[in-house]
Amino acid sequence: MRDSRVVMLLVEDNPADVFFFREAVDATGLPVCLRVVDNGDAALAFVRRQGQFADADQPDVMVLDLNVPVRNGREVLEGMAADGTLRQIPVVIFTTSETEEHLVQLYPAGRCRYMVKTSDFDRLKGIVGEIFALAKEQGQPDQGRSRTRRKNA
Amino acid sequence: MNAPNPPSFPAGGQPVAPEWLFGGGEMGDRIRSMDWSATPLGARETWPQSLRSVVNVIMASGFPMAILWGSELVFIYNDGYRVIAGDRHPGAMGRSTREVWPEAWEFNKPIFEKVMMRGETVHLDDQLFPVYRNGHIEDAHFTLSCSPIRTETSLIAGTLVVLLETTERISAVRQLKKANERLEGQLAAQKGVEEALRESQERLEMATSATQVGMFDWNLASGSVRWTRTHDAIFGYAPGTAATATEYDYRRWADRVHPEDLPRVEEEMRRRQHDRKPLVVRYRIIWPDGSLHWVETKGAFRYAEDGKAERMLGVVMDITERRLSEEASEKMRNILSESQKIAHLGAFEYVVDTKTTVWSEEEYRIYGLDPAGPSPAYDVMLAESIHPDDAALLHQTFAAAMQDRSTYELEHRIVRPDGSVRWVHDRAIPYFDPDGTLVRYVGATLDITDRKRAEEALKRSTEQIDLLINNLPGYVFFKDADLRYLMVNKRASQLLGRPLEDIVGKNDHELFPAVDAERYSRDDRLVLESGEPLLVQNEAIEEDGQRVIISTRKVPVKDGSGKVTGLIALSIDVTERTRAEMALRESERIYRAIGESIDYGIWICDAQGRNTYASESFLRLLGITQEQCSGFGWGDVLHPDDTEATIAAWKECVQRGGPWYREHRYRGADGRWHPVLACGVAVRNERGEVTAWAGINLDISRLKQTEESLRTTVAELARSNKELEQFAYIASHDLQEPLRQVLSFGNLLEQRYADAFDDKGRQYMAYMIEGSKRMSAIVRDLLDYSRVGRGDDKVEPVAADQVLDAVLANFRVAIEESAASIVRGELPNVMAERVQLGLIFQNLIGNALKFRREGVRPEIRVGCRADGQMCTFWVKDNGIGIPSDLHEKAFVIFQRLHGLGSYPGTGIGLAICKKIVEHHGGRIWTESAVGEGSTFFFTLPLAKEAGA
Repeated sequence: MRDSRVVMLLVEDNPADVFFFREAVDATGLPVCLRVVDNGDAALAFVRRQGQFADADQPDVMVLDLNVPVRNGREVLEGMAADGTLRQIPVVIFTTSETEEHLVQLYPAGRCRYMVKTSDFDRLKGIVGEIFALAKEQGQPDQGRSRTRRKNA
Repeated sequence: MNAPNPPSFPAGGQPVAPEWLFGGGEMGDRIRSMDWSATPLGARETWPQSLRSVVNVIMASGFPMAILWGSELVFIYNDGYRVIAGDRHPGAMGRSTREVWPEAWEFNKPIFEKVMMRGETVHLDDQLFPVYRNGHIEDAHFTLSCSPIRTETSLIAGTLVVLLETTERISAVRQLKKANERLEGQLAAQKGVEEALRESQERLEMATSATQVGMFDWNLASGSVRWTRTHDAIFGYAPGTAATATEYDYRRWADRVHPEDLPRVEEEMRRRQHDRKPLVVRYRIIWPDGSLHWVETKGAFRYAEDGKAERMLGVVMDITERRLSEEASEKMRNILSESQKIAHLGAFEYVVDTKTTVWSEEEYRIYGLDPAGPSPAYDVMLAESIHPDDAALLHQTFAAAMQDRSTYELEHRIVRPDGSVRWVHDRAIPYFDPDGTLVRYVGATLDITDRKRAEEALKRSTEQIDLLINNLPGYVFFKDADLRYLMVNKRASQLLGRPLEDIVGKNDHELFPAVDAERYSRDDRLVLESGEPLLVQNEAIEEDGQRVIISTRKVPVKDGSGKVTGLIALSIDVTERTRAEMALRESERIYRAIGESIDYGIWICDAQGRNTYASESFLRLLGITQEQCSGFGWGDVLHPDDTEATIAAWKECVQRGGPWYREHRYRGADGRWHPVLACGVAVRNERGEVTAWAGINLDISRLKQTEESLRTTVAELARSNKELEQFAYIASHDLQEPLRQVLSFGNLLEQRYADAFDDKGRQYMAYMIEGSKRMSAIVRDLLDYSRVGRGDDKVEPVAADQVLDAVLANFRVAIEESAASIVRGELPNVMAERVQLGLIFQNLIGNALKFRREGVRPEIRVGCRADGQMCTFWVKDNGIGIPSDLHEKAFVIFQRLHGLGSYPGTGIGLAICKKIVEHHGGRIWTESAVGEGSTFFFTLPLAKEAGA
């Protein structure tokens, strides 16, 4: 049962947006384990299982707001792209701006999507579905390996 | 004496005169057969008895005899005279003596005068006549006797000429020679016949003494010489006693010969002897009394059988007188000839009878003919030597002179054989015979070519001066020392309104108003007294009622000694010049005023770059005077950093011929550096040569300051603009999030808790969400607007078709809902930012869908047309349209033309379109009318084919 759940890491500092996103995830009823960090440093620490995130689950997908404190979304993306292991994790840039789509190219092809935040709850639910599908599609080959690594740790 | 017989009339009525002349040989026959009525003597029957008698006498005589009858001296001669008449026979009979012997007339005339006028008998001894005898002409000597023939009334009516031939006596020398030869022969044959010889010699001696011919017989072997008494006489010796020749020593001859001539004579003798030729030699001898005599010796050599000369026989004659007269006449001839040559004076004679001419040597020379040639006949001369244009005149003049028996005088041209033309002056006087008949003209010809040429040159030069004076653009006056007019030119005569004759001799007071006359005379006197020219400038006079300004130059006229004899005044009309000068000065004042009125330092310099004019404003800037400026070294005021470059640039500019354009700095009077813009052009003359430079030195300090502050302002503006856009971007970007948050939870609230509210509460919630949505739209549009020109995208070839596809896809729902029909043409590739091109179509199609007419199915046409480098796109709808007065306003940001209730919108859409189009270098406009739909046009640059 646990193996079928998708771990989504939401990088978002606005509690209202986190709340709205969580509502949408809940409303979809999909097997999602939502983890949230509120800055870029924390996001990188999470995926690298550093500090307080040493025992954290390896996320299947990262939902990244560009406008986050400390290290911004772009720096997070660059940090992950530079790491051979981390760049296996699909990323969905989820932001207010409609004009940063080019950042997608910083990341390996096919593993990064760009989505504009919406105030429409039904549309947000659709977006959550797409993220889930992406995690499923891109994360499949690594399922075993991520568990193995977790066991080794 | 027989009285003339009365004429008797035979039957038939013809009178028959009885014959009165009998015999007379040939000439008698001729007299009888001749028709005398045509002669001055008239018919023979009418001749007076005295004439008849004399004719009978001479016809009967064997001696040559002739009668010259009447004033005409009509010639009648007998058979004996025929030989003397020569070729004049037989024509001479019955004609005037003068006609028959014109050449002898001069000689004959005084003789006949003596006989006819004074009744004297004239004897002429040993006259030489050529006679025609024995088939040839030979010289003959005659002694003449001319005696008057008187009529019955003792009046002298004619001359009887009787001739006695003396030829034999005169030719004694010839006969002597012959006799000598005979003698010689006799001597050689029979030496003993002394008597015969002596007789012969005596006879000869007598003959020779009569003619003063000495004879000699020179024995060349012994040196002895025998000569006659005459020989002694010729050589100044007392005559020998012997009747015949006496034998002397050869020294008797040599002693008398002039020492200077002796060697020559002896040499000549030897030479002739050797050459076996007769000797003829002339030499001087000196008599004991010291007198000098010329003699001529003629001798013949006799040779022995061995060929050696034995003797010389000969004659000697005194030729002193002949020699002297020859010398004198030779000398005279030479003098005459030389003087004629020197004076170019030729002499000629024209004989009326024969129409022949006789010319002097110089005459030949004048005509360019050979003096050795014959004198040309009058007709020939007229045809060949006289200039064709003058021949008729000459002939006429000469004929008239002959007619009037007056002096002939004419200047005419002649043509020399070489074609050259000369001018000559002829003058000839007529000569008449005693009875007044015109016989000949004797005259002189003077070559006056040089004089004629000088005259012609003078005439030409005078004509030219007249022409010059009369065509001068002014007035010319000549006045004498009393200030009376001598001459004026045509124009002056017109000015005075009088003909020249009416001006000459008058003074100024008689021709001009008193005031003017006084002034002119005063100036004239100044010139006369000082002897110096005077220039009177800018006098006003009246000409044809017009005011004319003249300048007059008065020049004294001086004679050879320097005395002033009058003056010449030349007045030139300077009205135009004065006017032009005034206009020029005026124009210069104007341009200087312009130069001073504006703050451009106007300058002019000569071709060498020396300043000739600088306007006040420029002098003020540098704090110098015009004088200082003219001799200026620009290095003194130029900024040290500019000097070198400016000088180099000027040199290059001069070489190129301009224009001059330079910005450099001058040190001003205020001690500061003034940036100055110097411009100038070369001033060229008609030949294109640079004569000056002119231009401005503009102090651009203020301009520079303005430029600087403008640049600062622009930079500041750009920065603030950028900041503003940044602000708008950030603001709208950051506004988006809280807005979306409001909207997100508004939506969520409405979705989940709508039932918890009553109607009013739900209405509140609806307004709140509505406002949030509107604000969101505004913020998004603002964001788009501020993003234009930020350069987020790059300008590249974009396929407009694809962009339109994407936009239409966005509107798919709205299009379906409104059932709109979209008609689209093929769109090209344009140079644009892809996103922004999308925004244009987004807004225009959005508007077309939004502003549709109620109950009308929307119809949207999208098309384009290439237009050079640009493409004009249009989006046409059939919507509500826009009133024409709002067409411009539609593109103003936040400008909405409708209430939010009917057509909601932010009022930014068209402003975005405008900003994008203009950012791409195009333009946008609308054509629309209310109720007829709108068409929006915009242009964008076409992509180049290669990049499409």
